[in-house]
Amino acid sequence: MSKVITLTCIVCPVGCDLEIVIDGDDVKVFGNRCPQGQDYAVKEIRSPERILTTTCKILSKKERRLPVKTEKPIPKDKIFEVMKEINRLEVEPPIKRGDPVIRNVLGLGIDVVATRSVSS
Amino acid sequence: MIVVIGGGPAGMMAAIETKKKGKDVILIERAERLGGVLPQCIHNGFGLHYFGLELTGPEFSEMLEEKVYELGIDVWLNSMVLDVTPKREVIVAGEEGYKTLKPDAVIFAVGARERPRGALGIPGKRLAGEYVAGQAQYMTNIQGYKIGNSALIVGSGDIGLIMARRLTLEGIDVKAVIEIMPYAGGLSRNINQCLKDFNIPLITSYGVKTIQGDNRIKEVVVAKVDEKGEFIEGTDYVYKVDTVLFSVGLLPEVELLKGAGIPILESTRGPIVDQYFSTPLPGFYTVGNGAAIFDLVDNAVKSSIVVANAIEKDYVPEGKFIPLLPGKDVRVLVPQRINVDKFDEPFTLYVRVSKPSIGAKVILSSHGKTIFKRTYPALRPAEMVDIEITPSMLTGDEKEILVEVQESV
Repeated sequence: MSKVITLTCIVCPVGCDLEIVIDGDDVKVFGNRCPQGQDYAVKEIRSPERILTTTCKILSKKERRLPVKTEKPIPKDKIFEVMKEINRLEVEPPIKRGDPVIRNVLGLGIDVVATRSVSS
Repeated sequence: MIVVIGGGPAGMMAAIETKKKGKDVILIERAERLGGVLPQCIHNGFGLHYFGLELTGPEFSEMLEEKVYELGIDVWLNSMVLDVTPKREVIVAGEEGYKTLKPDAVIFAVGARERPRGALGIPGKRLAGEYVAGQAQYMTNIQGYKIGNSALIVGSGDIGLIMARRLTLEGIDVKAVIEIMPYAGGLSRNINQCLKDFNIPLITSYGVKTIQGDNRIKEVVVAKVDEKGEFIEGTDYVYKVDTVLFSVGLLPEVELLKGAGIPILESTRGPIVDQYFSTPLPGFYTVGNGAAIFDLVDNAVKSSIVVANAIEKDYVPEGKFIPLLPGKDVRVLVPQRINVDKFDEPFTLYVRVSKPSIGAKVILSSHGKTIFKRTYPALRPAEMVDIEITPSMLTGDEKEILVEVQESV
């Protein structure tokens, strides 16, 4: 049984409308104007990844929220699980931009880091 | 002495660049910290052009802020500019009371305002739960509030798309993004990563008919629109939501500029600027979204670098000007005129098209004679086209230059 998925390519501003036919391990891409569209589609089907940006609680008189991000893209299907981990946090200032607030989140080998500095 | 009004990215960059040229600079910010809107834009995608890094808003902002303080720029926080007079007096109410400054140049880096519901003429009561997207972003990302339980987003500009994802991550049920045009306003990257990733539908060619409820929003009635933008009978659909976000565009903030006597353009609703981002009045410059709505913060801050160079050269907006006029399918042009008497270096012309097209040409011409022509794989309203204009492209005798899009046949 093959499955058809449509996707807009985001490699460049042209934004080709891709039609992807998945048949077991076989992935066929249609509608791409260049080879990069092929690579993008295969990556999106096999192992889509995203950088997650959100905020967490900070125990500060000045700030209520600390913005954070995963320092590298994480698997797309882990976004809500990582959100749960971040929502549990209570960070103590001082903290510098780039400091980890969670190391190796969910064993993915990726840290969650602060994206701004807050003094104590 | 130079006064920069507004401590967002364009203002910080203007202060940094003029300070580097050896000028005394006062950077005035009404909030309690620098950064403008960037600290609340916690998503990434900033700085690719300027820093060569993919940064979040807070990171981009903090990197500029560090430079501002490193250079020892005089920063006035919690300070509101009440008025700027045509005589170049800047009246400020701040931490040290009421002051009148008399700078050699004023750089307006005052940013933009969001178009509110009123701009759309939607009937119905004024209810709790109605936000402009940036306000919802501030309340969510800075104040940490959950702003509702279920939401509809009106307008598919990038801020709307980004907020659709943001609210979903915070456990708010985002029912749909409604767009009155037949195509999305934002970047395809954001359509994919903010909507498709979370199965949020994008409903194009639909507008809001009315918003109903008692004290809080209960439902929003939408309907399909025809080519004239009028509702088609029998296409009503009701969304049961308690929250509505409006993401229907930005307008440059011009109140202070008007007071100074700077002419405002009907088409962009922003000031008239030349290639140095100088207004027609000597010593009055505008940068960033206060000059025109830019697509990327990277481009907004480039305008500040241009202004710093003009100030260093003691630029005066006098001489012969050639107006740049928006033609077919062109919505915004920055600048809107070229000072040909002081045109010795190339500058960037930013063009915002009014509808998406594939394989179309952007053409600059004067009285039928082509000055510039290039084919673009894709043109979209969300992304500005930047064209380098060099002195050798013009004869100097042009009366006006028309900028238009020619679709492929």
